[in-house]
Amino acid sequence: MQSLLAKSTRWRGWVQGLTTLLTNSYVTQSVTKSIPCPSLNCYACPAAAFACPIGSLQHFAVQRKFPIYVLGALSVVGLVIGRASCGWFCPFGWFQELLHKIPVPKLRLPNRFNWTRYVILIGLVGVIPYLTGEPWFSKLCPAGTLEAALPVMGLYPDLRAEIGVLFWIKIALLVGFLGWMMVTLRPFCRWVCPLGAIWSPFNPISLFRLEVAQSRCGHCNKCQAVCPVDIRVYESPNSDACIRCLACVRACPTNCISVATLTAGPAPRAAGQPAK
Amino acid sequence: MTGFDKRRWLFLINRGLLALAALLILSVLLYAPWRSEVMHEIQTVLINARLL
Repeated sequence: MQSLLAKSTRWRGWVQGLTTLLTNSYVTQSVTKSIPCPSLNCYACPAAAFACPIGSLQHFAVQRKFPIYVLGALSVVGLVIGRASCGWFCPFGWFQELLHKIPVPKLRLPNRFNWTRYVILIGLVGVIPYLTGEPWFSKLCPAGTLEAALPVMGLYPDLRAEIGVLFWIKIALLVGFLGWMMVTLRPFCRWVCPLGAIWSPFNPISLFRLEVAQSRCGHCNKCQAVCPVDIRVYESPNSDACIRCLACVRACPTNCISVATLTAGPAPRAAGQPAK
Repeated sequence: MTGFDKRRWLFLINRGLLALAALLILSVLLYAPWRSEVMHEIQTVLINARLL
């Protein structure tokens, strides 16, 4: 089973591509668009099949109502799979990984300031929309600019007359992030994404989790070398930054990292054979 | 606290929160006035979403 999971990481790009198509499938809009998407996908994208959970949260903040339904849906996802949705299903995460494949000089950054995503969640998604009555995160979101603002401008030429300063600020932010994504892996997920910030605290208590057999770990740091969010997995296998991509499970030479489920009993033992 | 205890606590927290989250969703989906209001609200977001 562990070997199968490790091998499945080879197909992660295909899973991300497939979920990008599914979340933007257009044809199911009439049925599914009132369901919060389990990843960051702009609801204003002409093909979007689901509602953006962050946009929905802001809407309820603007309306000064408690987002019972959206928080319930996000909590269920977080409690079952933690941030695995970021690693496997998020179209914008996939886009960032694809951009990072462009051969330009790379910049590795530590996780020191990754609390900024919590500030953005509380400020731009909660407090500021509540006080101003405007969904400010959505107004600036680079995913929204890429998936919605630009396609909408292309599809509806009449709307181009309404372009103002805000549009160009959004474009500047998007261009800045595109450049950063080429040199640093998943910068939006690590320092900005408020959806990741919502799911992060669920990682240590989620049903789906990682376990490390410390007795077999040689502290070779190969897990950190392949980790898209730069985690030392043997120190913190269920770190709030982990996106559960399972690259570490596959890379570990002693196979000491394993996928487990949270049960009431003792931790299961890691599988014995190294994954190839 | 032993490792076993910690894991047991995590398990209990997970199940407790999972039940609470399910209750939040079901309270909206099963109570028709809330359901129609919330679904309408989320559909309204879509209309407001063409942000220029």
